[in-house]
Amino acid sequence: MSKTAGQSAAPRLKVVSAGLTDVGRKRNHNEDSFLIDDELQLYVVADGMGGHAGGGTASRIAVETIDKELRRARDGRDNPFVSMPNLQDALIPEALRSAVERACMAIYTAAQEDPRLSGMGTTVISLVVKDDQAFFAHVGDSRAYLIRGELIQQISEDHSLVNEQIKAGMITPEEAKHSRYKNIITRSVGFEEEVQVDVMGVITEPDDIFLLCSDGLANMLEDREIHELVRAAPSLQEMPKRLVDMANERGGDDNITVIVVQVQA
Amino acid sequence: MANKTYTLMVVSDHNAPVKRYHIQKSFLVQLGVGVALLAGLALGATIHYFHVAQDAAENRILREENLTLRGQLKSVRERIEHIGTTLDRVERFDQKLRAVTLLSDPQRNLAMGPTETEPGTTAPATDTQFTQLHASEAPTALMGRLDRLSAEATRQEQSLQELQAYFQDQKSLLASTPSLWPARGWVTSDFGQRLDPYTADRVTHAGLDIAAPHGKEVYAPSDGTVLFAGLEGGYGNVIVIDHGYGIKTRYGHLSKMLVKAGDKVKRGARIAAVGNTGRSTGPHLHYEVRVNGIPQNPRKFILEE
Repeated sequence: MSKTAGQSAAPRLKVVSAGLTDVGRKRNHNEDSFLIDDELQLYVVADGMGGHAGGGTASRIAVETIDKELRRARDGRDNPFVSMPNLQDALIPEALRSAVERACMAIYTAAQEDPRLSGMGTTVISLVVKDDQAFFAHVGDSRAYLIRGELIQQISEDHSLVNEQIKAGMITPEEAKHSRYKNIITRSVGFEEEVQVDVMGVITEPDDIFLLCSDGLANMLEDREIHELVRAAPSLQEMPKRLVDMANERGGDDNITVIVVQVQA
Repeated sequence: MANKTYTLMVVSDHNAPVKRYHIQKSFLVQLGVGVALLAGLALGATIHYFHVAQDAAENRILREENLTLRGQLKSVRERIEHIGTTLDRVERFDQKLRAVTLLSDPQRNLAMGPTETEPGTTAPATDTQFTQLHASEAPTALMGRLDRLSAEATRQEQSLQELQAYFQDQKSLLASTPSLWPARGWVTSDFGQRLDPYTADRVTHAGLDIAAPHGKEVYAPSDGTVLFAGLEGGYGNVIVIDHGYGIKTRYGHLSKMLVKAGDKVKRGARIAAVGNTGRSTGPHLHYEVRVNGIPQNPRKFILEE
């Protein structure tokens, strides 16, 4: 270990990203929102629901509030964006959690003030990359995947009725794919005043790809197919388009949003 | 002739008068018969005495023999007991193997329990040689027990042959089964319903909590691929391993993780260290086994004692 003063503990890794959203083929407006903030290395996908204008409003408020809250936290006295050698000591997960909670409150308040927005809510999947660590905060059935070589792994656990049914042994994962309750989520941001947020964190490896998406992608493609499309894409910038196109080819049942983030050595 | 009389004269040498005794013949006959009877009686008694004396000697030998036999019976009983416990162990192992294969056989549920009472509850043989055998331990009862044991052994043999045939086809399934304890320690909270240590609510505990010192090794209980190694909310540092066949294991509250997502691990490989990260009241390993997404009791798969 070098003890040279001022030397950064972790090497600065380059993070590149690309994102795309699409209305799909069955819906007439897009209620998904996404955020790419390369300065904070913050990435968010939100899939809104409820009412005529409600869904789109909820997801937009979510991504804006989360960005605003994290920027405020960074500029505040207790900046959570500090390097921590151990995952469990990092401050970012709690900062992310409280940003999502604030977004929940903001959406709920907005819905209380405008009856047309009543009952709106949104899913949130968010990612912050800091040094070689990646942190997620998650509510609902939008997903985060880690793609590392031969492996594709869903990092977030869906807060959906079918997932609860699978865990209770009521249905098999195969049955879940065709369940009519596939779109029912068990938690959402802004539908109630408070929400329980799941946070996760992983150590990144060079060339890891993190993929955030709404269920408009995950319900149309198998994990394996997502993996193949990502690996076949000539560049990172191409990936979201290829994934969205394939989801549309399969029917495009819902709005489709994809962000890919790659950590480069 | 009937009343012949004999006279017995006693003549003294001196001047004393001669004494005469008149004895009737019938009296003499009676006397003779009486003497003969007495002599016969005495002979009979003597013969009887010798018989009894012989019996007594024989009895001593029999007692000794009886003692030896009793000892042998006891050791036979002990051996049967031993076989019984061995069979019980085989049965438990068999059940575990079946759990491992996820083979369900409703007939197995009819399997009889222990073939006898616990060893401690059998009346200990007292030292006196005259103690009667306990009714249930009579040799006839032993025969019944032997019959049952032999039936049980036959059934076990069939069952194990069935399993062996199964495993010959499914070697990789066996390698996937989380059959080892992932860490050595005390199980402080079992699978199933429990009170939440934080909120005291009744909740289902989806795994085992194994209390062990901070830094104690955590081993992979079978071959697999690491799906996740990172922070996961209340479980702190978590590793998830996919063993194939729909079997996944999860390890929570780790202090250190020695593998990363994508790594292949072998059974027995060190993967992490026990810790207290996340929502935890002390250093312990939270260990879960999920089959097709459904949490199962990890003990069902552990073949180690």
